[in-house]
Amino acid sequence: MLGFIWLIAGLVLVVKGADWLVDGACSLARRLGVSDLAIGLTVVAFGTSLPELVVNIAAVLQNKPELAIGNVTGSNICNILLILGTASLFCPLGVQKNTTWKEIPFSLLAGMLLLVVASDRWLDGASQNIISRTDGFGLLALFAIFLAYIAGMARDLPEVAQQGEHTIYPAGKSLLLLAAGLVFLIAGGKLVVLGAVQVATALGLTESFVAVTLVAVGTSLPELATSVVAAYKKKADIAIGNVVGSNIFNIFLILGTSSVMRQIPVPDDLRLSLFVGVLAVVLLLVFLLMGRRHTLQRWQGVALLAVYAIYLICQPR
Amino acid sequence: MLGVVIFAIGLAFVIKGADFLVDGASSLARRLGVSDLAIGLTVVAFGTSLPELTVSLFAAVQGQPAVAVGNVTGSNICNILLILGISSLLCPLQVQVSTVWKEIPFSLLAQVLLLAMAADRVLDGMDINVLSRTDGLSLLALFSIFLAYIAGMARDLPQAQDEDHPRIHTTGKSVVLIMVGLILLIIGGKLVVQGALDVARWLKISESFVAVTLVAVGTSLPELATSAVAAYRKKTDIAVGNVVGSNIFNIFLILGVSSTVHPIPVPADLVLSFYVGILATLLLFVTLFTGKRHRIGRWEGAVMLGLYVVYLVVQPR
Repeated sequence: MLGFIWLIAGLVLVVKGADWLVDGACSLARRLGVSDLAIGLTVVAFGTSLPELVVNIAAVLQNKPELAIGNVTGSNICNILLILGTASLFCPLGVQKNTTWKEIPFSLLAGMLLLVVASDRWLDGASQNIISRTDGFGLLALFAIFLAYIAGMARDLPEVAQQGEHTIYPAGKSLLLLAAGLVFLIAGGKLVVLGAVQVATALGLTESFVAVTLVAVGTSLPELATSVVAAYKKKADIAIGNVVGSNIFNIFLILGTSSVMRQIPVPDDLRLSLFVGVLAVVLLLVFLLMGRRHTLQRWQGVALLAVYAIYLICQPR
Repeated sequence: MLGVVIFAIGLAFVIKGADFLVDGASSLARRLGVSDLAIGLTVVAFGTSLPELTVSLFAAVQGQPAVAVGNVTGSNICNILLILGISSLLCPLQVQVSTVWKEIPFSLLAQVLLLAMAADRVLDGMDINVLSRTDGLSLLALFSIFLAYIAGMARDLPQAQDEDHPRIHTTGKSVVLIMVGLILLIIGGKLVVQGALDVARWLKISESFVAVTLVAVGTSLPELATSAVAAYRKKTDIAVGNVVGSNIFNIFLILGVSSTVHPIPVPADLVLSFYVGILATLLLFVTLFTGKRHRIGRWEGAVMLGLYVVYLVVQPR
């Protein structure tokens, strides 16, 4: 029972810590004369990914590869099947052309590459499947390209620059926010890992299963919030873009950074989730090209949710 | 002595074979109704790279890693320091903005990533440095992105289509061309590798040294021809773009395909060439901002040539 409390407390700390860190860093950057665009990009890029990143780093450093990889693969599956599935039930989700033709293929590439990088046994005859440091650098190289792509897009979209228009705090308060945010993030990351392990033990589940469900959904809360707000404001076209972008970040930035810090062995009971991750993106792409083009319709949302349910049943506990 | 002859014949076969194959394949594709754009892209993409691809692929499969890797790293160094060095001495080279800000950084990314992937000992504590299948597939993932980028550019630039208006041969002749081209490529690839090994034995120098000099320059002849023609027609802005594009192809396509087909151990005496490749790319980038902007002047070309000589002296024999 205590495990749940740690987990929730950790999640709150991580999400709040990310907020503060971004707030403090932005207003400090403003004072130093950094452009709105650069700040906005950083906020978009790292702000919503920070909780996942911190949890993953904590998991890797504490030798919990199940949590590190499960968090990422579980998030990606949950993002598409659960979040987009649910959102499209309420209102059919339109999508921008760029998302269909550039970002979704890119995230498909990410999913397939992750599968490749985690298949050393099959591909290279190695004794163990491992995401090595060199793999990590490969992922980060792809992240650099994605960031360049976003930067190119952002130059044309004023919305991103607006993300940079934060309230400007005095230098002292900014530093304080920055420091407190960091402390929260570090403490929260550790608590999430601790809590997840305890929950797994208490419920007699594998750490992998807790990682792909509880931890994955928990750290995706910021994305979920963004998507809900977008849907509520009828800016449905942002919802899918957000989710797909977050999936790309999860693989390239978060797994890239964590595996560069320390190599991550891939637990066998997470291999299914690597395949389902690819399947989910393929489904999304097929659905957007079927029926009403560039729209995710209600029945398609139902199908996504059904696949999610099947996945939860099949994933080893 | 025989080695040199074998090598020269192999080279002639490989280059002529690539020509035939591309000719036959594109006229067959025309007959099947493939668009000019797709054909032009494929010709640009694979035509000039086929000789290098064949040689590296054969070397990898025959267990000659020095030739497989040295061919690529040597080509990349030779492309910048020797080819661009000489061309800019003859006539200062103007460079397009997209080359400066997109293609050169992309090729720098390629070089740095190659260094990371070939550093398994330092990064992952492994026994040997090896370009594994998973590394190869990561390189191919990056290649697919570069291809998408070229396709995007080509759609806006009608030149890419004009570049290749090969005559349309009859179906029968096309098929014959393809077959003959393939046979020449296969035989030529074997001969080049064989010849290079013979030359190394004859001159009592290492296979790596022969690979980064003789093989690299030999297989770069098509690029050299393209650049020379471009310079001759005073289309100097194409020269730098060609060379940088070829460097990106060398790493992402050629090493990607070769190491996916057969993992390549990295010879220790080629590590220097990885660093020099990075240095050369950095130097190219810097020269565009020294002196006249976006232009490689005469004295900068002289510096490049000087550096090439220093590299040849320092590279272990």
